Amino acid sequence: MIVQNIIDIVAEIKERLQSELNHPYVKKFIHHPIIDEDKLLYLCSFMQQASVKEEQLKVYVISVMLVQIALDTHDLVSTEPVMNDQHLLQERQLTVLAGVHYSSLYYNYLSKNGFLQFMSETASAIKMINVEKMKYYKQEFQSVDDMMNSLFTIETALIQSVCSYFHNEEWKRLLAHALFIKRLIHEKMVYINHGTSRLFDWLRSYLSIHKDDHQDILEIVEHYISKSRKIIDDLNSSLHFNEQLKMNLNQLIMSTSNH
Amino acid sequence: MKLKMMYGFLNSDIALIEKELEQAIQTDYALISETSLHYLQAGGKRIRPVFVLLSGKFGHYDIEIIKNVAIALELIHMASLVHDDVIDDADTRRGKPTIKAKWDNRIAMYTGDYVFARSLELMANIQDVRAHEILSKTIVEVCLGEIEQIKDKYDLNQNLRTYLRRIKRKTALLIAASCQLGAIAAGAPEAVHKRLFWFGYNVGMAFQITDDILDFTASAEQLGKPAGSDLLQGNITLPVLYAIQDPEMRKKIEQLFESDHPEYHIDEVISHIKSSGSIQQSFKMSQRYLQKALVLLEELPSNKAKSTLHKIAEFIGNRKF
Repeated sequence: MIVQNIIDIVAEIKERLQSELNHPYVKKFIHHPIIDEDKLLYLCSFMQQASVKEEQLKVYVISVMLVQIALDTHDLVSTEPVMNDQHLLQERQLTVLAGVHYSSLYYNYLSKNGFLQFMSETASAIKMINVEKMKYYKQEFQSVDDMMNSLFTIETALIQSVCSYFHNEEWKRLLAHALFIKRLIHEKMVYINHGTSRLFDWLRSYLSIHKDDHQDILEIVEHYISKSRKIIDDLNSSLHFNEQLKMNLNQLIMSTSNH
Repeated sequence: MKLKMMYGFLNSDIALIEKELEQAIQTDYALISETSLHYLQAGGKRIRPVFVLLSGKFGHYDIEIIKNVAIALELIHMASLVHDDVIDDADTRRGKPTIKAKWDNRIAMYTGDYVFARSLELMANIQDVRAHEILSKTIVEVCLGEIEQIKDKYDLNQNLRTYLRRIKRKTALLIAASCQLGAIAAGAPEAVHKRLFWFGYNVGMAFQITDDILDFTASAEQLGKPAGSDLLQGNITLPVLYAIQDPEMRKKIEQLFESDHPEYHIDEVISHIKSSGSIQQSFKMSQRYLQKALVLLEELPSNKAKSTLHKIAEFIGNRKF
């Protein structure tokens, strides 16, 4: 398969996703969901190397992306009291419904194609993700490892379930750790730019780190990034990637040393 | 006669469903088990599982298979209630605090998504792809109906067709799917499961119209929320649609919507709606759907499930709260 093909596939799926996500009334009130192009590339590359037929590949990837976006959308549901703010209420209502709509489309995609076992695997991951999201939201952890494991599940359970369905442990590790690094870098950037992030705030409070002591807290997160980077480095030599994915992973690895 | 007494012959299967519903949502993490059980333990009519089981009696009834559909549908319904309470910003349901009120919106979202995923896991045990196509399409439609409901709020220019399409999506389709999926899971012939779908559809329409009537005629105690809540939230239901055909009534409702404190005026508006004849007109419409459901039922093979469906349909169409 030449590089152009994966680019074309990713572009086509993105377009189809955008059209699925486009509800004329909902988009008046809530931001159009962001499609994670890295995730899209990871899924397409994985499916392609697993020799999944192109039409089936599209169904698998679109459905997984839809449910991922559904779960992400529900993270945006606000918690503050509405009082008499009709606009805030309407925005919240449509955020809830947009998420439900995307998950219903995920089920619909898989049903139409009879991918029931795949649905079972991914539904189980969705369940796990929501358990961990609740723990993460409530910040009920006994150790830093506990919290990192929770974040790891939230970020990677879906893609892990896809790789498990195709019985590919190496790719599962590779893609999961790549996504985890991405999330940790994101958290780090949010913290650096805004001085607060759910992850960093919990670490600071749990480890009783003084609010001006940035270095200690950054080092902890850096430690987890390094661990995941090492796993990717090890797998890099044993797996074959398309050029697009190779470039993406190289950039990801490079970005871990930039920050 | 109480609803539960109508399907007494299903008692052991209903008990099994009840037990497995609770088991289905248990996890090692106590909080999510607690939130998921919050509505389940509050009771409820379990009308969807009952429809699934009764429809299953028109095929090769195997509780070990059919229970997956019955539990999944109740969980889907439950997940939608959890999400709906966030949508409606509701603090109570059946007189108990909602999940979003007891915990918060985010916890409610995670609970709803968790329960929905669990229902899909159970549904995956049903191998007939048609069942999934029907259910997934139903869920898409239900959601579109809810979006439409928000869009149509406070819009007094909407017509009867808009209302009927909305209640079809909001309520009737899931009841219709419950009836059809039970029969499909039991391997009933196509003619039978399709007829059961239309039976459920008509019962569902009658059910929702009755619900919309009760919002004006039942007491706050019976409803578990203040009377006229739907109207206060801007939902234009059938009694309102009929009532606003009178320009005076339309003006009163416009004034209610414009008021800073509509709750102060709702009792007066309810009383006008009740004396306008719109309740009776709505009741007639509900009866038409009910009659259609009963006619459809007539052509199904005779068995105990059929007579029970007949009784349940009549109960639903004529309930007082």
